[in-house]
Amino acid sequence: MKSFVMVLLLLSSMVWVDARPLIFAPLPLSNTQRVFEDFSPMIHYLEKHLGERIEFHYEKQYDTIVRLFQENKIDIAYFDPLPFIALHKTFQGAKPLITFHESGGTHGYRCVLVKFAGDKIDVNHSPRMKVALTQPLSTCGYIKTKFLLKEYYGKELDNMLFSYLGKHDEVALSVIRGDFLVGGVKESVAHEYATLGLEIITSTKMLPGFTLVVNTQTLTQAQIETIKHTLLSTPKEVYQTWGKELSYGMSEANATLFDALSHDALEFNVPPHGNYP
Amino acid sequence: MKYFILCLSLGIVLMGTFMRYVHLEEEKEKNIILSHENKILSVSYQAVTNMYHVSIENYFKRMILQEAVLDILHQAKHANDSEKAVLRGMLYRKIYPLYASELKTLGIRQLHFHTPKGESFLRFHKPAENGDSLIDIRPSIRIANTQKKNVMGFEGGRVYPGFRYVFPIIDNGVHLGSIEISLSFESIELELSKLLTCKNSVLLMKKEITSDMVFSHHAQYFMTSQISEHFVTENEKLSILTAKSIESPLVKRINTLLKASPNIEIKLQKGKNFSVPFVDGTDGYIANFHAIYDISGQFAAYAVTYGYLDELVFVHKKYFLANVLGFIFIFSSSVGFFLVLQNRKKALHEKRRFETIVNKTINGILLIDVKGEIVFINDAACQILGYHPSEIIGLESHTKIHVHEDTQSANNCVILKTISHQQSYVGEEVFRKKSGERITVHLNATPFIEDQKAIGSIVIFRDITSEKHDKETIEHLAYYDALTDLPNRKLLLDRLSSTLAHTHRSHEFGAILFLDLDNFKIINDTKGHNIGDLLLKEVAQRLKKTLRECDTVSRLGGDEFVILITPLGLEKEKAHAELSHIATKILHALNQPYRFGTFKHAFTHTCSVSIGGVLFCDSSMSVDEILKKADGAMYEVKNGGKNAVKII
Repeated sequence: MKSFVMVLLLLSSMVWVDARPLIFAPLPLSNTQRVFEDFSPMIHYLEKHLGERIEFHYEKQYDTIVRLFQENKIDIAYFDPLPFIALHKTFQGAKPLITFHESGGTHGYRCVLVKFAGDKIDVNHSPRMKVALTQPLSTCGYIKTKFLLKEYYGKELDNMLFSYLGKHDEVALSVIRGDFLVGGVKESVAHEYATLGLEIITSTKMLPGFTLVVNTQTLTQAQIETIKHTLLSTPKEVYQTWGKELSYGMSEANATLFDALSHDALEFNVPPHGNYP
Repeated sequence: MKYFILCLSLGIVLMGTFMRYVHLEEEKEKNIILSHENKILSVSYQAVTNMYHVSIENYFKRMILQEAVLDILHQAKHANDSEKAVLRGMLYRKIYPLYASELKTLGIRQLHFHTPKGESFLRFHKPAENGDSLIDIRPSIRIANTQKKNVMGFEGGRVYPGFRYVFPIIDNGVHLGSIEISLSFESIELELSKLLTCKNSVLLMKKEITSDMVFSHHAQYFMTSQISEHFVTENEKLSILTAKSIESPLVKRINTLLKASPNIEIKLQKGKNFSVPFVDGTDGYIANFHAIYDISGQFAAYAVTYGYLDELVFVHKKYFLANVLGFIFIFSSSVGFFLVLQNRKKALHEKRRFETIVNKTINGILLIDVKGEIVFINDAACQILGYHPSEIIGLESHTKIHVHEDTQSANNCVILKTISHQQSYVGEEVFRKKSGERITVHLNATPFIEDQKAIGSIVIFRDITSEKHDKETIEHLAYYDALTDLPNRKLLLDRLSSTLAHTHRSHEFGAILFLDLDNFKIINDTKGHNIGDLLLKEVAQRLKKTLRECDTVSRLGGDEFVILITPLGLEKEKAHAELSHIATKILHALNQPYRFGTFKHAFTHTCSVSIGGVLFCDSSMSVDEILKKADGAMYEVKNGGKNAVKII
């Protein structure tokens, strides 16, 4: 009888899993519109090859995405390294599958410290300058910005006024607008806003690229293999039409690349909120 | 069967025509309602776009044309790319507070600066995307930067189509570029919803000015319309209002009906305002399409509103009822018409039968009205009276046809009395023909009764003139010789018997002369019987001329004539002398030559006669005896040499 109930529960669970579409959630690097238009082509491409509907799910907060993933409400996610490390630390079902290349084909990216070209920075005269950050769990957020400020200016981020703005492009624009003197963003975002006078002060070494992470508890091995095979065999002329972050190619994710960064994440105690409203 | 098919066809044609008429009337009434609804949308749309124009122009003058902004644009006009980047950032920094606090609140979707060459300088809605040329694909930017005038209207674009308000920026005569402030349809829709009862609306955009024109990575902003593949709507994942409308059960229902509507694609392609009504069970729906033209005058989109319209159900029911009633009426009329035709056919058949009888009968038939005017005449009557029907219809029969005694008034006319007295009359009357000739007719006049009232008289008559004449001739031939028209033996014997009775009472003498032509057989044999007959006729004429009216000259047959002469007086001698005298006169008259033939065939014949006579004054001798005696006397003459008289 017990076995029968177990089988029934398992079947019910499979029916439930099959009943809903696959859920894809990207990190909110920019606004909804932009994120949607960047990822939709890839989603459609995957839908076509998987033969299943994939629903787009937008969340503003990194930690919400991590939580939903842990709750098996997200099947596929697009993460930068740090959120993945945070997720993987508590949820072993998260598996990095594909890493997206940066412009020029590099298998990783850099975080940069940016400022508006029209602004002059004198850290000695403004020790509590305002710093714009993405999110606590963002790789280019607190951890790498703190590192870059220390390395370039010899100053501690914790002694400055910092605030989490959520998205990379929002950090870039807030610096251009003059709301913040400096900010930490992904290098490609800094380049994107260079035409508005955003300039890079300093950058980190190469970090593991943004990664497509799958939920091994909601997806079958066959589905995971199909996703991997589909994306890795996507013709260049196809992925070049996808969103900017996805258009420079892909390779299979290497979990060991995240180890070094795991050490950084453990080293710093990331404050969940900024000290500046 | 023929009438059934005729009535069925007529019914079908009438029903078809009626239904068509009802349909057109229904369409007309619906069109009035739809036109009103569409007009409301058009007016509201115009009001909203004009309202935005006024607001946005004010913003432009107050916020954009600031000295600091103009200074940045002056510098940008001559800057290199890196300098331009900083100036772009400065402009962004300068305007952003306004953009975030006021323009976005107003519903502005795009705030976009252009260079004087029509390149994108700074898109507030997409700050990272700039430098691309818009002069060739955006008429509004071309017009603003070449013609230096304000442009307002709907237009496609590289990022998103919208309602554009483009103003050229000119400072102290220096052209610094232009600025575009665009509204999303959501803003228009929001304001429209305040004016309209239809709370669901969608912007239906032509593919050519949207997904075909924007940067390829922005194509995801749109999705193919549920109505037509040539139109797109905003992607429901990006537009809260579109999603709300598209997900609305009402919009889904109407879109399904629109998709199934046969002419919807044609209507959509026309680019005109129109409304589509639907009646689905007890619900009435309407979809209003307001055509939006872009700045270059090209049809670009439809503002579509969806709503319930119960009035349509009422109109639909009203005309459905009209169709049902029309069907009942036409069906009943068709059946009625069929029955009328059947009866008419029967009546026509009877009429033809009657007319055939009336026209083919040899009797004349007249129908006269109460005034005595002829209202009908049959062929036989026309033939008898010599009139054409058109000449006699309406003639007053009492004076024109019927011949009366001079004193007979219409009141005493036997024919007219049949009407006034409602009694039939049968008898002989005299009619007058067209030629004036009178004929005797035997007629039967019967009053023509309708609703127990005599409205005329039917006169059936027969011309008996000839018949009557024949009767008289027959009667004449019984007593007269057919050749000479003299009394024959029968009449002679009658008169002789009468004379004998008379002489017996009066004692006056009468006499018989028996005449036999001498050698009559010779002329018959030599000249033929025709000449013989002519001789007999001439003899008869000469006898009549010679004798008195009171004497009877008769022909017994052949060449024998007998003459009864009365009265010859009471004295025998005188009577004898008188008779001799008369006989001698006859002898003399008959001895005169007879002329026959004409011209070269003419000839003369002389013929004598032998005459025997007998006097009588009582009934002592019978008729036969008298005749026998006279015959005997005549034979004595014959034997004695002929051509003489012998009186006994």
